[in-house]
Order: sequence, then structure tokens, then C-alpha cells
Amino acid sequence: MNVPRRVLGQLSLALLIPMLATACGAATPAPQATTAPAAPAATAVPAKPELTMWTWKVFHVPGLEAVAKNFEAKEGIKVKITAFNPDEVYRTKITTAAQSGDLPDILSYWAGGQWELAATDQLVELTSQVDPAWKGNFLAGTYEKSSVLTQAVFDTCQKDPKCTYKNLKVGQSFSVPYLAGQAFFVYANKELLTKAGLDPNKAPATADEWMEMMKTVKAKTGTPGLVTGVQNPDVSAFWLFNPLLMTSCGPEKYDAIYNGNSTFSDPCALKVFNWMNDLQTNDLWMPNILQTNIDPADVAFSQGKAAFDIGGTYTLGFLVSQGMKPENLLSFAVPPLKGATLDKLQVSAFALIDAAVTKNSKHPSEATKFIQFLTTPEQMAIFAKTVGDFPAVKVALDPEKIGPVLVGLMSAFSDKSPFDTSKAQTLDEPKKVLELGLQQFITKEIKPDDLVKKIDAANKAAWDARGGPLK
Amino acid sequence: MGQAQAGVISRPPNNKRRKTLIQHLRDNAGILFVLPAVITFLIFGLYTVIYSIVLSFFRWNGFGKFSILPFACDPPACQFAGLDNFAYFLYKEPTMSGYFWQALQHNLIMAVVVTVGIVLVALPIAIALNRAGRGQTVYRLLIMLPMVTAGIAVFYVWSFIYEPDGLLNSVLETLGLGFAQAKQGWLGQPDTALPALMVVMIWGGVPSATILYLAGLQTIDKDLYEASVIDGANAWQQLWQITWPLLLPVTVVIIITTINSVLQGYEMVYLMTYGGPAGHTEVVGLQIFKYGFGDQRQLGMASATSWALFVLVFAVAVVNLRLFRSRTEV
Repeated sequence: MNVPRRVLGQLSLALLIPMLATACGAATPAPQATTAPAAPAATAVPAKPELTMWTWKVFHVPGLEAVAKNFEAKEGIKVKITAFNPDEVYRTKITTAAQSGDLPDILSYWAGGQWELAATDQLVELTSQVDPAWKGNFLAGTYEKSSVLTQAVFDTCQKDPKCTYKNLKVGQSFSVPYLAGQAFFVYANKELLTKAGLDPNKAPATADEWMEMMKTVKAKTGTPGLVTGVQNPDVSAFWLFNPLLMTSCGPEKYDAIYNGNSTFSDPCALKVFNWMNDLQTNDLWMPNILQTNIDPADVAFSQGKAAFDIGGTYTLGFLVSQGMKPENLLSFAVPPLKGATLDKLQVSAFALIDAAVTKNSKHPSEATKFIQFLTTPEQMAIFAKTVGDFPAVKVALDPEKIGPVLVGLMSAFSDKSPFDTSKAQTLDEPKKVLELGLQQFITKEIKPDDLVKKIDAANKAAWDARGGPLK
Repeated sequence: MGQAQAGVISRPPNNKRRKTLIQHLRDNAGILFVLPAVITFLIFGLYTVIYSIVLSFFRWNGFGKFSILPFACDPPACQFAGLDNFAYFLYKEPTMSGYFWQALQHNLIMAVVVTVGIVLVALPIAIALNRAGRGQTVYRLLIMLPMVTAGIAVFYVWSFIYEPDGLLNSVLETLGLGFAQAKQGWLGQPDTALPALMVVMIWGGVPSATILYLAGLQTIDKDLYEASVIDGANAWQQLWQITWPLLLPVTVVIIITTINSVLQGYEMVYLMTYGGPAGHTEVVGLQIFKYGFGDQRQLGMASATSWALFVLVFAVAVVNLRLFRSRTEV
């Protein structure tokens, strides 16, 4: 009786061990995944490779395919574009593909977020390949700002015990930007301004004037003043608070506050918190604003449910697609508070999406050639016109080539935005307190004085945990 | 001769052993049939559980090398964190630990209110259905509808009902109860968002609880009710003295499964409020999702939070079982 049991046990183990080993082994990337491209066959003429590219923006696929078609016509190399969305699915797809060695040749990634991939040897380094000619294609504030590892990002990483890309060096580059944008735009509904007796073509010079305009619209038409995707906690902080803080305090103080060398209770910052709190005390937000995300906010604005909408360059195309006429829109950058350090916010583009070549690629030189081709002004113009989105490359401001809407937006850009030279590093913990606090203004749960104390405490604790403020 | 003899002598035991092995394999064929399931469990169940436990002691963003068999953790993408992940959200980092405890508080409020709500709604419905003569099948079908409707569609319909100009506010206005309206929408106000979510949870949980209660009611001997009538018991006494005690095992199952799903679930919160307004509906499950699939991809932190939640769910289940065991065994 004992013998067969043992035999059964051995049989089970014999089956189990190889299966477990196989399952566990799968977590390790296949050796070929990180090797150099295979040598061409000795006899036959090597076939032209077919490249793969992933993105998470479904509506970018036609634009990328149009460029891929031109690339195939020129080089004879096919590029297959695949989209995975939403964002979480794309992130998971990349994480699992990186583990199994199945990343595509070319990867679209969030600009400035590529360092984790680069640090784990998943991306081909482009530092020496992006020569001055190629670099010269990019808009100011895009490639140099987020595709090259800057001293500020490096310093913050070195101080943070949890940073996962400490092995990278200042100046290294692993990707190039192809999509840019800017978020600090306000759109006004001219019809509503006219109904309220306001000049529909006059943008407010200050945030205080802007608030008065919202109050007037509300009083005269009953329509709420402001809508934006407040449900997304980044929106209030990044789209509205930061531009107001930058103009109110100026670039140096702005950096000092975020980097732990000054405080949010500084009068210039407190004025911004008070202004944002006044939006609620004056009942200017659209009802249900905390349940309104970015796209629903734009839809509500296009339906005339609010007089003003905060968004970015990408918002205009969406509003037009929702049936708004461009001539019914007045757009302006978030205006500074009265008496602010900067009397006007210069707005420039920043990179949103980068393209990188992965080390999984068996054809890295061809893949690099494709992203270089993609980021030429001619191809970026085709991409921009096809998808109606903003390229990270200097394209000809020709309505025929990129459409009238993008021409208007690009003309309004400056190459001297204070955000381009800012070295502010926003840490996760104070960012959470700030984002939640701005939402709590709307729920009337916190006052500006109390919020600044909480953010300052969180910012200090976060920088202390990283060895002190960033100098 | 000697060899032949030895061969003759040695053969019978060999035959006997082979027969015994085949016999025993036949006798234990069940084990072989179960083996694929066991192997599947070991690989996809136990292995992933152990993987998650080990991962909770590391910082890992999902890109670098991390495996448990053979063990590998390549810095800087993977770093040993010891108990730091647990300390971070439990007490060490004031901001993040504050959010964790607040989310846990929401989970516990939901667990209690939703469980009690489901029992209070499902039991009377089950009793009514049990007594219904004609049309019982139609009633059962109707009560089952929330169970068979796709969750995502239901959540969106409820979101529309809760909007400032949604159905609920309109009904209140029509009834002359305009003062009770939620002007910012039922999911947009801190005081109404969590209760509004709990109503949807109760609405979604009632059908299955009703079916369980109905099955339980049909096992109760009708003679008990007849005898109690002779003894002069009224309907209320019948409910408390006969129906409720005999349905206690069913109630325990409903309580444990409801608490379990409420504590672990996050899908409804993700789709309807994303934890808002201003964190008033944030739950631990949603935090785990944000840690694991947000832009930071803190997979170790997500695992650590999951295990903290597991300990809570397990403890609640044990307490429930202990609490009700003595009563159900009577």
C-alpha cells in the first residue's frame, strides 16, 4: 500500500516540477528579446523588415498610418500600427510585454515617463543619434525638456530612495517627441458673453476680470461660469492652479515653493488659493462639477451649459467635433491675478507623447529611421492634419497643410514660457494633498488658510524623506 | 538449475508487484483525475498568491527583472523594501496613510450598511414571493433582473438617475420635495455620494439574497407554522420564532458573501465616482488599482495593500462564522 502511494507521489512531482519550471521561466525575458538584430541570411536577398508600433491613442492611428504609408513608399519598409486603450490597458500591456520580451519595434509613451523603461534596458539609446539637424525639428520646450534627462530630474531621482532610474545619466535620451500640446487655455462661449452684455471679442486681462465676467454671465443668463474636468484630480491643479501660481509668484518663487525651499503659505500663493476658493463661494462652477471628467466637461461647454471651459490645444478640435463653431469661441491663456509678478502668461508647447525604439526590435536601425522620418516637418504636418492634433515639430503654418485651427493655436505660442525653464519637481504626496484640497474647496470642506498648512506639511515631509529640499 | 529455480522463485513477486501497482492506480484513479486541476491551481492559484506575498516586500515598477523561481530582483527597477510598503500606507507617510484609513472606513461603512440593507429588503421579498400564489414565476423573474443585467450598463443608468437634472431630483420636485434634492447631483455631494452608491449596491445584491432566502423558506416544514397558529402565535412571532432562526444559516452565507464582495470590490466606485467627490467614496480596492495601474506602477505597494485588505476580509469572515456558528448549531 505504501509503495504505490510513493509512486503516485513521484509521478505527480515528475509532472508538476517541469510545469512549474515552465510557468516560472516564462517570467524571464527570452534571450533573443534583448539581442542585437539577427544577421541576414547568407544566400537569399534579405526581405525588407516589417516594423510594429504601439500607441494608446486610437484616433492617432490614421495619422500614423498615413506616415507609415509614405515611409513604405520611400524605404520599402512596412510599419504596422496597433492601438491599445484605455491608458491602464496600454500600461499593463507594455508591462507584460516587457517581461515576456514581446515589446514592439517602436513604442509610443508618455513624454517624461520613459525613464523607467530606459533604466531597465528596454529602450535603445538615441543620445548620439539625435544630431543637431534632427534636434532642430522640435518645438522649443519639447525634446530638450522631457526627452533628455535633465539635471533637475536626475537630482530629484538621486535624492529619492524609491526612484527606479538612478542608473541613468544627465543628457541621455531614449525617445523623441511627436505630439505636443498646452493645457493652459480658456475657451469662452461668445454667444453667452453677448447675451450677458459683455464684449465677446475681449479676453480678460486678469483673473479678477475673468471672475467678474463669470459672475455677470451667471447673473444675466443664469448659466454657470466655469466647467472643466474637475473629477480628474490633475485638472484643477495642473490646468488652473499652476499657471495662476506661476504668474502670481514668478518662476523663481514657483520653483522654490514646489522644491521645498519656500512655502505655499507665501502671500503670492495664498492669493491663488483664495481666488480658486472664490469660484465656489460665488457659485460659479457648473453643477455636479466634481462628477464631471474632461470629455463630459467639454461636451457640457459645447452644449452651452457654462460660459468658460479650461482645456488645452487638444480641446479645440474636440469642441469643433461636438458641433461648436470656431467663430463662436474666444480663447486665451489663463490670465494672471491682479498685481501678479508676471503680467501675462507666455504659453509654449510641451511634449505629450514620445516615440522610442525598443531593445526587443530586431531592426533597431530601421525603427530609428522611421521615428526620424515621422518627426520630419513634412510628415508631422500630414499627421497633424489627419488627426487634428498638435505636432511636437515645427511645421509650416499653412492652413492648407495642417488646417486653420492648428495654425491659429500654433501662432499663439511663445518660445519663452516660464514653464520651459522651470526646475520645479512636484512630489506625489503634496500633489495628492493639493489636488484633494482644490476639490475640497468645491465641497466647502476646507478653507485656503487650512489647505496651505496641510500642503506645506506634506511637502516638507516628502522632501525630508528625500534628504531635504531640492537646491 | 539453480538459476532457473531462482528465476521461478523471483518471477511471482514481480508479477505481484506489477499487478498491485495497476490495481492501486485503478483504486486511486480519482487522484489522477484531480491532478490536472491541482496542477492548474498550483500554477495559477498558489504560485500567483506566493508571488504576490513576496512582491509585497519589494518595490517594483513592472519593467525590470523580478521573479520568485528562480529568485531575481535587479535594481534599480526592483528593490527590497522589507516592511516599508506596509509601513508607508499604514502609518509612516501621513498623507498616504490618511487616505488608506479613510478608504478603509468607507469600506467598513459600506459593508455594514449594504449587508443590513440587503437582508432587510431581501427577506420580506422572499417571504412575500413564497406566499404568492399565482404569478410567482413572473415575480421571481422580475426580481432576478438586476442580477442578469450587465453591471456597466446598470452603473451608467444609475449615474444618470443621480445627476442634478436626473430622474431622482425630478421625482422629488414633482412630489413637492424639492428641498430634499441634491443640487450638485447625488454622486457630486459629499453627504450623499456614499449613501447613493450603497443604494446601488443593495439594489444589486437583493436578487441573489432573495433567491437564497426563497430556497431556505421552502425547506421549512409548514407543520411548524400550523402548530404555532394552534399555540396562538401571530405573524410577527412566527417570523421571529420560526422563520428567522431557521433561516440563520442562509443569513450567514449572505452576510459573509456580501461583506466579502463589498470589501474587495471597486468596479462600481471606479465607474461611478472614481473615489470622488473629493475622496468621499474612495475604497481600498480602488487605491490598490491606482497603485498597480496608475502612472507610478507601484506593484509592490499594490500587493502590500491587497494583503492588508485580505487580512481584514479574513478576520471579518472568521468573526462572522464564530458569531453565528453557535446559533446555527442549536
